[in-house]
Amino acid sequence: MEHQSAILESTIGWILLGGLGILWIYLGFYWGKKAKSMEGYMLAGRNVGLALGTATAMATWITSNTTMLAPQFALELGIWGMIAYSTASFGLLLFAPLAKRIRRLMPKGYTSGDFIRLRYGKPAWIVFLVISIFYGFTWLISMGMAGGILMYALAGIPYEIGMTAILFVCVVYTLFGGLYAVIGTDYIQSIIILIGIVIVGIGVLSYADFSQIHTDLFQEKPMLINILLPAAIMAIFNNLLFGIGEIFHSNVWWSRAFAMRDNVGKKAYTLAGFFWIPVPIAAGFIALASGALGINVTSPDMVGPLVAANVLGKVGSIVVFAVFFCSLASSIDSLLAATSDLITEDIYRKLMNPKASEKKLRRVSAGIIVGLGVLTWAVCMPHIGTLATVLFFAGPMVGSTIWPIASGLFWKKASASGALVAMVTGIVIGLIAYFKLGWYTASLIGAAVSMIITIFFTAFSKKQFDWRRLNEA
Amino acid sequence: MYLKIPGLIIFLLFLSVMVSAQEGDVAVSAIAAPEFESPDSNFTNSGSIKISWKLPESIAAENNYTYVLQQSLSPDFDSVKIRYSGPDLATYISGLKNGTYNYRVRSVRDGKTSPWSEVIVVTVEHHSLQLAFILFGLGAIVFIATVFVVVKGVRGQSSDPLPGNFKQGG
Repeated sequence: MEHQSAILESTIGWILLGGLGILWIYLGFYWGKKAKSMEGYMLAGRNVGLALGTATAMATWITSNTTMLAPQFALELGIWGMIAYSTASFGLLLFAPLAKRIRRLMPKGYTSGDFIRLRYGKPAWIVFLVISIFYGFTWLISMGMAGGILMYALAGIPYEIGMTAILFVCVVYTLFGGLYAVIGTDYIQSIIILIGIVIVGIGVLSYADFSQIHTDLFQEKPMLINILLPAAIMAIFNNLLFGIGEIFHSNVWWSRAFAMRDNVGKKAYTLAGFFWIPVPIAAGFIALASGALGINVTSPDMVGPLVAANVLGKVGSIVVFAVFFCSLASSIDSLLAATSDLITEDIYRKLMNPKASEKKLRRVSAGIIVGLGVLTWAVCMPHIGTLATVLFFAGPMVGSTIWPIASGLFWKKASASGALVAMVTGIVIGLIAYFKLGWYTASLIGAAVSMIITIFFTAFSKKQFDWRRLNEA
Repeated sequence: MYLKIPGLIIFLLFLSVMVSAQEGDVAVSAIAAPEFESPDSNFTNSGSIKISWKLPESIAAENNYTYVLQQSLSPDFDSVKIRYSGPDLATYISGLKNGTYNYRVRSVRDGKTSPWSEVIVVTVEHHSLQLAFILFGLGAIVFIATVFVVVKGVRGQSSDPLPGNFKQGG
């Protein structure tokens, strides 16, 4: 790893890491006491209200990808990159009506995999599970890597130790608290994130001289303020569709739709979407100021934390540390819980042991959370690639699920063969685009191919799906 | 007159040595020059590139070095831009226009400078705008169609039969 000057003394970094880690683990134990049944553990008793629902949706979507990748987008793709990243809010806004629809059609559902299995049958379900688990895992890896990068950039804590510590804390509190702990900690984390972002925003705005920033960009990075930067133009809808694909298919969002009370999901996702829009704009702007502030960036995904901490000084960088820690934890816990649910429910219970007792399922779920944590840790260790290249490798996969999900929820004629072919072809052609054109085209191409195939198969389908088949109870 | 010409020559020689020593074209000490580690590819169509370097293994443990990275459009470095100056071993450059860029780096310690490293050449060639707009248009169509499916689906869902045990409005 290249040397990069740290902002905080490593002792302060360790104290913060230890303090926040102990707090989340304690809360995990505390809230975990409420999770007496499997439904309580996996879906927080299906009783999550508007405030907690909105906070968990927003905190989960403010991830290392928002606080670290959005600045990277701005640094690489300029003004358009910033705007492109904020379009990911459309994922939350469009999922809002889907959340209501999902609760309506599947009042006893557990996972997004349940929907695909009941709606399209086993072959499409297996492909979907591969996509979903692969995506969940790459997201976890990007998050684990982000934790290590963050610790190193802010406090000089070695990447391997920082990454291990964050993963360990999240695994422990998710393990004991289930979705109750995830949603409860998300609520506190969302408040810390919002307060922190306001402080960072005020700090950067009071420091930054706009004309100096413009002059620096014009002289040193001229393409970043060029409205016709080709890669940025390509990235706008690619990122938008990537965000929609992530949310439409991922069990992180479906499990929350199942967990929220009736009529809460739509409002919660809509509010979260609107609250989320300005966050990547603010995070991106500070990256554009890096040159004018004389901050060297050795890795593009470090630019956000580096600029924020530099601008705010040592005291401010403690705030930054807390914000980034919370944004990471709120996503890692959600992913651990949702991916574990998916594997427990869809693979273990549905395929391997349909008669498993609740106690047994709980043990399996806990084992999967630990296993996911260990596997993520092992893959994060070598620190290969940047956050964008790791995460966007899953882009064509999630992009190809948009239309099978949307059409499957609303079109009776959407066919199983159409969904299967759409997902597989979308992935293959999307991956070709990833390698031939760049990561900023892969989701778009995957989604477009999948859309064309879904429409084609639906047009020639004669079957009418009976929505009542989705209610498995 | 005859005495003035040799004097002028000696003065010009002295001046040229001073200038070249200041620019570092002459090795003024025995400290080691860094070597480039990346970029892995010498071509980019996004206009962004990460450049990193290292000291030779034998002196890598010493940490009181700083570095100067120069960029030039000319292979001879006639006109240069300093892209980085400081203790880090890498820098990330973005927003480059189409062109061929030359980079070289040298180390500095206690006011002494190393010789320049070998030059690396990076070619920036952005994607065509035609391709960018085709993909933009395609993305817009997919997005609008997705919104249409969701909005139309939500409006038409009241006619769907509900699952057996579902109580609307719970």
